[in-house]
Amino acid sequence: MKNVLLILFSIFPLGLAFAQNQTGISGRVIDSKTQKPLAYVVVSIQNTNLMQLTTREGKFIFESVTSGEQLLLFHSQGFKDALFPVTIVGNQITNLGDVFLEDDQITDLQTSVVRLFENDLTDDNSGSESTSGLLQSSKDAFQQAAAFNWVQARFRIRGLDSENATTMINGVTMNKRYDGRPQWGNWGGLNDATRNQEFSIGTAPSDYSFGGILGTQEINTRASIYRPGTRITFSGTNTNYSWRTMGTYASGMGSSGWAFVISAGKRLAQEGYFEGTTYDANSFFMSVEKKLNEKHSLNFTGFYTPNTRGKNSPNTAEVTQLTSEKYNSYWGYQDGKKRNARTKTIEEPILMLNHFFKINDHTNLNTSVMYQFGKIGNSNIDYQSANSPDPTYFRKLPSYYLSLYAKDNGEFSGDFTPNYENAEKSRVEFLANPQIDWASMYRANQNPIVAANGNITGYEAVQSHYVLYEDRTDDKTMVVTSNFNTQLNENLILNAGGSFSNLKSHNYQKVLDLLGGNYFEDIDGFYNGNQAQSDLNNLNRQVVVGEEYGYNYNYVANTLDAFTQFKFSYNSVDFYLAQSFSSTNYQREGLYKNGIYETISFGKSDKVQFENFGFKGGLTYKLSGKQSLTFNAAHLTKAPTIRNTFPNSRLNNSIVDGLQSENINSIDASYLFRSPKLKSRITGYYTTIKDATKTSFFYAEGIFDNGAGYTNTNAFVSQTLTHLNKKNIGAELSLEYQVSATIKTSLSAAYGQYVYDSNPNVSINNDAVASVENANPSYDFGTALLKNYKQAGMPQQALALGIEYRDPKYWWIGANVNYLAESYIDVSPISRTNSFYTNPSSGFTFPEATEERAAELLKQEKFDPVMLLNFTGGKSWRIRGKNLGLFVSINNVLDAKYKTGGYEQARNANFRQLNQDVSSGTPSFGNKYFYGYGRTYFVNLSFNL
Amino acid sequence: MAMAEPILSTLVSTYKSVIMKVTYYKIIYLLVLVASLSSCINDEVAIPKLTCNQPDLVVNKTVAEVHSTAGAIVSQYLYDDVIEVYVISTEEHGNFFKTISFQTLATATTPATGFSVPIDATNTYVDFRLGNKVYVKLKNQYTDINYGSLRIGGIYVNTYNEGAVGRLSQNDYKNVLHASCTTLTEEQLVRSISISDLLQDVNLNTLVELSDVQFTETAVGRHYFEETNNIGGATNWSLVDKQGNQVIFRTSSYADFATKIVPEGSGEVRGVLTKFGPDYQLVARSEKDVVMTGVRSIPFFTEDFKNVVDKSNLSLPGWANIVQSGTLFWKGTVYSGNGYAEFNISGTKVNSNIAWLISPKIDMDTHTNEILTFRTAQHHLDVDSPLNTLEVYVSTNFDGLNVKTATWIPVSVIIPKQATPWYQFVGSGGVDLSSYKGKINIAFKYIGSGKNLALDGAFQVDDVQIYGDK
Repeated sequence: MKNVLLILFSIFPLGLAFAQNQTGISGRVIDSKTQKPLAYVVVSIQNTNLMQLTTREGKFIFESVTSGEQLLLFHSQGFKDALFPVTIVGNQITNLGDVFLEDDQITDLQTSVVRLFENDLTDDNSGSESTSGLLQSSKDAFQQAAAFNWVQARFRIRGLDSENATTMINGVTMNKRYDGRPQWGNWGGLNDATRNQEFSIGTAPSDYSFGGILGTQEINTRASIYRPGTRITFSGTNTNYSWRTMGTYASGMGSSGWAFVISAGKRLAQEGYFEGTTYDANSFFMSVEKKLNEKHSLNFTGFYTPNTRGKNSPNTAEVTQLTSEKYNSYWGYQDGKKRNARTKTIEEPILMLNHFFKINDHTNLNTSVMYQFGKIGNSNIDYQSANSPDPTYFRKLPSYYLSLYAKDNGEFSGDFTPNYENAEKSRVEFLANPQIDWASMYRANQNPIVAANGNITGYEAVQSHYVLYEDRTDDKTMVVTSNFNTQLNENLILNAGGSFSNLKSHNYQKVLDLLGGNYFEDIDGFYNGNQAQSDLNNLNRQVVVGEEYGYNYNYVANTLDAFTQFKFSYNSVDFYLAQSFSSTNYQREGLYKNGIYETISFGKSDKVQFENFGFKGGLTYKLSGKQSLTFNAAHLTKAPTIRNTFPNSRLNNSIVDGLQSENINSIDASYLFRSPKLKSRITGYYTTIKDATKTSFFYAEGIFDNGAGYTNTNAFVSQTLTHLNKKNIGAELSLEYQVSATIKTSLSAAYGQYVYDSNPNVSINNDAVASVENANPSYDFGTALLKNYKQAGMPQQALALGIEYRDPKYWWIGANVNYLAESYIDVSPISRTNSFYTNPSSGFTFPEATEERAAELLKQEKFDPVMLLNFTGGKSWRIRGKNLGLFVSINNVLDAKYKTGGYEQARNANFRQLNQDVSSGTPSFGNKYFYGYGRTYFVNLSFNL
Repeated sequence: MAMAEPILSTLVSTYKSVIMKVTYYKIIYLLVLVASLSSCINDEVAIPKLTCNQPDLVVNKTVAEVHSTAGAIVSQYLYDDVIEVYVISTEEHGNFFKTISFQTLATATTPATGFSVPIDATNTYVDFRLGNKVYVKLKNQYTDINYGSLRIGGIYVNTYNEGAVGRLSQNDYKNVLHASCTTLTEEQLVRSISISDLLQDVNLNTLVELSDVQFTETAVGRHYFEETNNIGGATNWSLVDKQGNQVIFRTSSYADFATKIVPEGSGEVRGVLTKFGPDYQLVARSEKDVVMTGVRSIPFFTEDFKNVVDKSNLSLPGWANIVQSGTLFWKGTVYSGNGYAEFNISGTKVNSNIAWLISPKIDMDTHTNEILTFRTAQHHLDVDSPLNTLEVYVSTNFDGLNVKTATWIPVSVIIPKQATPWYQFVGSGGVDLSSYKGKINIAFKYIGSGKNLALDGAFQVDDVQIYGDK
């Protein structure tokens, strides 16, 4: 970041050299700890367009300043911002002398803590996180609260998913085309190496991209901008990992024109906070820069961060009651060790070459070439002619017997027939065997070896009925990006950029472990004959470890985008205008000829093409040195993600009917007040996302009935919502008050209303009824009455109150209390369609259905609000010229148990089933929940050598 | 990327030379790296050692003893008794569902006896493999005889408050059935048997093998399971032997061979004998139970009566339906989709009913070694008497109208006895027609009385077939 600022703002001194008005201010910035001058500190006079970087000697000088009261702001990464009131005297350069910047231990150390929350709300394998990394921004009290305190409860700024934030490394967008979200794991565990970040929040302009409406995050890894030195940290925690060590060395720009940075890290847990959640992450990073001459520099960056973690299950209230909030159904003992069946492995190295071209003092052209390859794997157990290995499978739980109903009596519901005796037996059985039974799966995959006398003497491998497999995504991404910026005149900066990206994504199922058997049959046991075949070109394959099976296809995605941006800067007003254009196309290529979809599974799909535009603009009006008003507005369209384009991508080439781009509008307005004692911001925003498309997969019981009554009406279905609109309105308040030199208090509040703003169309694709005549068995369920249901997955209201004491002797403590409320469950759209009242076996309305009861059954569950109390503290020492820092935090001191998210199981898709299940008092298909961490600690020890 | 590689390698080599200079940092750095890498979790999992260590229980009862205490009405077994039996069915291939059939090991003097245990759990084969010896703890379980077959299990009471043996709950079955560490081979358990010997209740739930059988004509080329022939979620085809005996071969829609094609050849079929209503049904465990490697016998004359009209006088092209005494004719009957010829006395009080059902002319010069088979069943037969019977004749000079003027040569066939269950078709046995030349007629002559109620039994005829060598 600093280098860019350097480029942008070094032009001012030049321009000012000719100025005659010698009214100004000068000084030198010193690191309070080392007493050495600090270079590249951003010094600005608040609410003016005056800004510069300190020189190598730490000096700055503003020579054309309006006389009077001004606020001088010093900002540098790793240091506390300093805001000093100064009085500028006319026709005189006021020399401030030395300005001391304090190490910002708190932010610095806290940034190591974030990103501990990696569970996605849905149960699918998208493998990405929906909470944006923008939370790491530490600009004001609000964003700090969001980053360090609210993120535990999955707070999202403005209620927006991370796909609305553009995440970049050296100007290259890292959001995945599959779901629009960045894969944080690709640079996880490299906190020191990814420290140089630049954020723009909301639609505020970024120099690198048009950006999403949530903001833009740019990580800069140019080797020469790292502060030279070595830093080693050791951490211990009881969250998703147990301990971590990281080391980073940065050389700084040497006289030979070379600079390099290397960094490595390791995070490890035998078991994280939730049971059976393993964690093993290694991170390697290097960046090498060669300054070719004054105009050209080349920089190579490489990331390699292989990591594997065991996931934890969402659980129903029943399961949590029988066990605990930490319960995880995904693991079981194998040979005395905990083995998690559902692990996520990410190994996607990034190679990047950057060319920095300083055309002249006003103009830069930076070009990046990025190549990323590797794999993401999500493991799970597959089984054929065998029972579900899930210990919480609904038939194994007491609720299965407690929610029994007799068969329908004609059009009427059968009697409630709970079986208490068996429920109790199931309870005892579940408590005795609450985890996956690996040994029984091995047993199922082996046959006894029988001696002549009939005695079993051993076991031999036979066809596997259970295997461990992996849903694999092997992406190869190539991106070329150019970013141009120039200072056209004193008041106008032009940014422009263009980028081309090509993605080839290979997706398939792969056998990881035959669990004692010797092969697995590549058929879908749910079907028969040809329909059971995964690939009609290779019938009845027997697969072994390492082989592909089940589904196998490629995506190819090409994106071309360009943007331009004009930033105008005047004394009392700054404003900007930006526009973007992008062209996107996707194509699926089936490598298997699926038995269910003979005609539309093999070969290439139609190519879908989108062209999208974006416009945005905004202005900052500087009311005074302390106050300013900011407005931003944006309108853009956005291509649907690949995930939402191909509704049944694993099996066929079909494309969502009536697929269209999202239409996004966003406006916000802020009032800022910044004085040395009091810093405050109030923001209001209004965002709409229209015509969104959303696909998901699940088991649905009882939606379809073939009329004959013999086949069960359960089905594995994919659900597609189209014309889904979302509306996010809210306000943010940030208040920070320096009570004294040592005590600071802060208040942050978020009030949001994030709702669905349309009744989307629901269509369901049921593989079970596909046939040659009906190749694409999509059922239109009409509209789901989702309007005004709350968007799920985050608290819509949050409040934080913090107090912090910083002792001059380099220690500090802080405490904050947070209140998070209005978090809702993710509702099932099928239950909100008209088919809800319809008996699938007769087509008539259920006689017992009433709107009153339906309203009760369909009421969206609101989670209890939670109060989180956190303590932080730290101290730093200086020993023989080296820094030693200690940071300790205890989160959720009160050990509050709370739900961070959850979803309705879509299996009860009609009134009778849902009514029976709910009325029983112990639903068999109750909502599933994710829980937040209870009391956790984090201890970090860092050495700066 | 190819273009970038030379630059990359230059960068990397220079990077290496730079780092050599900063040895101090290098040492620290290596320490960190070593510390972080040496601490990898050993995430390799050991494969569990599978050993068999289930205990052997003390057996104090036989299946026959349990069978003798069971009756049509469900009863609870009160004593702490244990029997030992062997698994002969499996859910692995989907043709059995939520039930296991068990049988005893036959001895030289005692044939195997079996029973079934319904279980409210799926894929039980994982713990109860074919051939495995299983100890059954009987205390507090329920027994009954259902369609002649012993069942042991839980209790099920329907809405009319009628009880029957029901499925053992998933929480209970492993407390009743105890797998042992002994497993016998199929060959030790299976019994070779003919269809005519097979169709008895004592054989229910035992593993049997039929030799020299083939699927009937209607099944050949069809799928094992056909939606158009879906009887309670499964399809019934028939196996026929050289004597004309047939047995139902039943395949569930969930069987993993349901969509395979029924083979046309002849050979051996293995399976577990079950019964539904009056029908014996052979149920294969997997497709491997059907081994049809022999050549199919194809009849050159066949009549399966599928085109008869239910409850009306039989009238088929070429067939003669002639009343010799009384007023009643042979009628067509269709039951469960199967058509056949039937002579049934109803609404007549005449002393004597004699009626002839005579086939079309059959050319005996096209084939050699001709064998006639057909199937017959009876109902309401009170005595085995020549006054109420079915006789079969061959004639070489029947003119198509006058029974009396033709010469009728009686042939010896097997027909159902009074003791044969009603409606159960039995094979005629193979009737050797090789001595006949020219064109012949086959006649089925019904004899009975409408007045003497002891002599008013009805006979049914089906699947008249003549095989021969070309």
